[in-house]
Amino acid sequence: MTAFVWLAATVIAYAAALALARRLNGHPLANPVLVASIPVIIAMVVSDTSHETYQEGGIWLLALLGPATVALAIPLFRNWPRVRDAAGPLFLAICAGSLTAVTTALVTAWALGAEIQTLLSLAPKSVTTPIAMGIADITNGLASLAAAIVIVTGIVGAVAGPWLLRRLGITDPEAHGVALGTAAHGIGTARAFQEGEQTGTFSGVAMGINGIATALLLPWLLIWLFG
Amino acid sequence: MIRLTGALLGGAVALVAAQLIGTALMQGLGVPIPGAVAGLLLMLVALAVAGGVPEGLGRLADLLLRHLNLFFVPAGVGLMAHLALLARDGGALMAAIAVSTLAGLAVAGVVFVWARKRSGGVS
Repeated sequence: MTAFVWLAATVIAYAAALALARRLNGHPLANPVLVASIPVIIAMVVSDTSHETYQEGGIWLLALLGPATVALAIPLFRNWPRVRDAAGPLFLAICAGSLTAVTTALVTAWALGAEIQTLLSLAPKSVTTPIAMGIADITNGLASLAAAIVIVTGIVGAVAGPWLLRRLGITDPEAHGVALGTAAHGIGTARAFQEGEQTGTFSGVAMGINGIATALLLPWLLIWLFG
Repeated sequence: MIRLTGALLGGAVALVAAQLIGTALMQGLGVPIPGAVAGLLLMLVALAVAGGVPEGLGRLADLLLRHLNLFFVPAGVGLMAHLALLARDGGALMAAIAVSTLAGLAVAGVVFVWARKRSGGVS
C-alpha cells in the first residue's frame, strides 16, 4: 500500500514537472528528473519516510529502465542509414568525449585533494548506473557512490549541455545527440528525445557504444593507473 | 482498441524477452555488459531480420522513450540518501563532476562536427 502511494506520488510529480517543462518550452533547466525529485523528497521529509520505504515503490519505475533501453533499438532501426553514414565521426566523437570526461574528472578531483576511493568511484561517471556500479566493484571503488555520481552527471549534462553546445556554435541535432549520450548517458538521452527523435537516436547510440567500450576497457586503465 | 491493446502487449513481451535473453547471454559469457544493452543489440538484429517494426512495438517504444525521464526520478530521489557521500572530499567531487561532464560534452560535440566536415558530410 505504502509502496503504491509513493509510486503514484512519483508519477504525479513527474506529470507536474512535465507540464512545467512544456510551459517553459522545454527549457533544459526545467529538467523533469530534477524538478520531479524535489516535491517527492519534501514529502518524504515531512512524512518521515525512509529511502528504503520509498524505493519499494520507486523500484517499479527503475525496473522499466531495462525495457526502455531495449526500446532504443526501434528509433535506431528507423534511422539506421543516418547512423551508418555518420559511423566514423560518431566513433571518433565518442572516444574523444569519453576519454576527456574520464581524465578531466580524475585530474580535477585529484588536484583538489580527493581520496583514491573517490577517484575510483568517479572514473565510470559517464555511463549508465549498472555499468558504473559494476566497474566500481571490480576496481575497489564504492558502488553506491559511483551510482550517485552517475545521476548527478546525467542531470548536469542534461541541464547545461544544450546551452553549452549552442555557446560553442553547434546546432546540428545529431551532434547534440552524440554529446549528450556520450557525456550524460540515459538522462542526457531523455533530454535528447525531448529535442527530437533524430537527436535522441544519436544520443542512444553514443550512450550504448560508450557504455560497452567503458565496461570493457576502463577497469584495465584504472588497474594500470592505480595498481 | 482490442487489437491495439494486443499489439502493445506483444511489444511489451518482445522488449522484456530481449532484455532477459540479453541478460542470460551476458552472464553465460561472463561479459560485464548489462542485459538491457545486449537486448538492444538483439532487438536491432531481430528488426533487421523482420525487415520492419511491428505497429504495437513501435508505439510502445515511442511512449517509453518520450517518458524516459520518469524512470530516472526514483534515482534522483535516491540522491537524498547519498548527500553525505556526495559531500565527501569537500567540493572536490562536485567540481570534478561539473568540469568533466561539460568538458566531455563539448569535446564529443566539437569532434563530431569537425570529423563530419572532414569526411565531406553535411553540417
